[in-house]
Amino acid sequence: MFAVFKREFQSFFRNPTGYVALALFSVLSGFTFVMQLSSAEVNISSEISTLRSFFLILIPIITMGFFAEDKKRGTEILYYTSPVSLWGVVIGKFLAALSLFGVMFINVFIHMFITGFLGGVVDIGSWGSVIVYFFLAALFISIGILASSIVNDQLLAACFTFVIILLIQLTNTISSLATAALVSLLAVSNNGASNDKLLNICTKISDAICWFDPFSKTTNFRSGIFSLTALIFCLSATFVFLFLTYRNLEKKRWTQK
Amino acid sequence: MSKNSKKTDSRFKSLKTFSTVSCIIVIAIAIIFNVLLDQVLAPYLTFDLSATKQNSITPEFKEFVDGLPSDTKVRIVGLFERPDDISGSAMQYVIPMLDNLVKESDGKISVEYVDIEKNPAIVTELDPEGLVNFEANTFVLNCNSKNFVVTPAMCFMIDEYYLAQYNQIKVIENMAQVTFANAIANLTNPNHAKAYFLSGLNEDSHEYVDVILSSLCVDSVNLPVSDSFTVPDDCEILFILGINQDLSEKVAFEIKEYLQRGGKLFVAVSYTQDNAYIDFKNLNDVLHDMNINIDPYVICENDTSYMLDGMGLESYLDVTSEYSSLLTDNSRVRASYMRPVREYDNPKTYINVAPVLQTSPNCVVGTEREQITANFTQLNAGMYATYTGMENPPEVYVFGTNDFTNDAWLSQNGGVTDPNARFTKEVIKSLLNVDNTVNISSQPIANYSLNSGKVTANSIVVITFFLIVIIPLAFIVIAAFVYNKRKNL
Repeated sequence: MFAVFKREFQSFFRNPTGYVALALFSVLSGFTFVMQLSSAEVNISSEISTLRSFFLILIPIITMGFFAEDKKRGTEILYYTSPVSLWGVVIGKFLAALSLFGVMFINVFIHMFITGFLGGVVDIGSWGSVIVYFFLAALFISIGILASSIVNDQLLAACFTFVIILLIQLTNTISSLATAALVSLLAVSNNGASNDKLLNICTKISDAICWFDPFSKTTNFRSGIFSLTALIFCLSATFVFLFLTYRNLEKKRWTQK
Repeated sequence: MSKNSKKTDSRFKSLKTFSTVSCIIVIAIAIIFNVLLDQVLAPYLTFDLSATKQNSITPEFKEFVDGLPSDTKVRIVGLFERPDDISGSAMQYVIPMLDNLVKESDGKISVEYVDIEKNPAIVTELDPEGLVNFEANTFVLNCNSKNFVVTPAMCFMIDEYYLAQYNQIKVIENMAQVTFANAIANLTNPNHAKAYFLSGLNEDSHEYVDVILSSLCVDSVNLPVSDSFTVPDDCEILFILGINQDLSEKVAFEIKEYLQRGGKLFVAVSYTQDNAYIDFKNLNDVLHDMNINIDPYVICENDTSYMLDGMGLESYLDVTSEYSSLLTDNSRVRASYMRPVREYDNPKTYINVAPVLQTSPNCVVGTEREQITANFTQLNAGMYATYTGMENPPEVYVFGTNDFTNDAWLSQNGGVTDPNARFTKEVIKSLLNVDNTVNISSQPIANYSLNSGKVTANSIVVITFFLIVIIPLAFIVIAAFVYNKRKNL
């Protein structure tokens, strides 16, 4: 596993991908920080919250080549023939991507240092946001890895990841829209009369959709309220996506012609 | 050959089935595990590590709830659907706190959320007589068939100075626990006093005083000045706070009548840009009955141990020994742009006047342009007056500063926990003779302002250039270098 991790992590810096991701993250985080700085009020939690929306761009860039690139080059066979378990391959790649996020995050640590130096506050909420950032990054990286293992084309993998992350970020909106649509549908079918029971069902459906939203689960961290259940949710979701990746690779091993 | 192929096909099929089933099982286990965790263990796995414990019930609030009779049933109804995402909204100060309150209340307090638009029957359920006007997105506290409405805006305080300067709202204090505790106290306490605020004289806002009164179970009502002005009979204390216009003769006459009936009066008038040229002739006419006069000058402190600014216009004040019980700890009160309050020359001997707040002995008075007194002297910034030998005597506290009651000043200086606000509370308590108070502190919201001395235009330019140009450019240059080096490999 360590060998895979090392290879993948180094590969980020053997081609421009890692540097482009780093440059992009530096610009985005720097811009967010400077915007706050100019108002003489810096809340690192707000900066990190804004940065979370850039997962949409960064994660597909980082993860798109993980398996799709190997398939394109024909080096995929090495996973099945080398003395490394498929789990080791999946986890190694996952950790490499997460480590790249760690490297990118040095920017935010620099911002924290500058904030402290300028007499600002880096409170427990800021550290809570840092923790959440990495847990969410882990979750979305696992989605990106799954996408890369499913499709054969890098660009398609990136699009797939982009769409899934977008849908997760819009969970609340989707839930509201779905509820509104269902309510309207019910009103039409009942000739405008409201049906409390069915309305209740709509609300429950909306709640059920929202339950899957990792962003709303982790929102209190920025206020310094740490909920282990939210972190466990992110971890278990990460595990599920990594497991699906592993099963997908395992299936391919047995279907090799 | 065909036997081998059959064998492979069957192995592939069983592997495919195993793969599908294992995936479904893992997903199902993950969902069930998280649902159970959410439903059962979430309260025990959530920790409030914030410095100000924004959403945890404070020991004072817990003590207050524990002190309620065991048969107390307070029903809190949020007239809206419980939102999932409360970050950035006023509800972030309320909903998590209420969740904790229910847990800590031993069944005395319940919280529910009912959308008033989807379920309008809740209005008649809470208020069968239709006495209260309920609105969506508010909380209704219901106890003993009485209702108390709490709006989200009551759950935090904003920086009034920042609002005036930049026209932007900046939340500085979480008042959720104070507001709900006061509301519960008001609902469970049958004895309510009534306070009136003289309004319509271009006066400053006094929301903090409202909160203080609420914590004393005193209802506050505005009393606009008009040609038919009278002080209502149920007025137990009348406030004249931060006015920037003098009273009319009619209003002054009615207030004098009110005092003769044994009324309690609280006056606070600063020396501001808006009222510097007003000598408050009619207000002084009222106060002369209590042998007090407010001068049309500003106090200028010259003792460096009292001064809080270079001009001596903002300074500490001493509470006189006779009234030291009004400030229970060692903290000091302070104020700015104060008018001197002095004893008038009313010859009636039954009037008892005493200084409450004093400057150092090194003060002068002046106007914005000129110094009036030549010699240093000790001045009064607050006085008390009453009649001796009467059964129900009038009582008056007069302050030459509004910094004990003014929202703009208190919001900049710690709100209801500031020594000035605590002093005001004790003054009101002594006037109303009430003791059933709720002493719950508000929680300051973290202040993320940078040190203005360190954040200069130059430093911002340097940091911006470094973060947005130098660092990304360095990575791009390296990326180009790596690409160039490895493109032929």
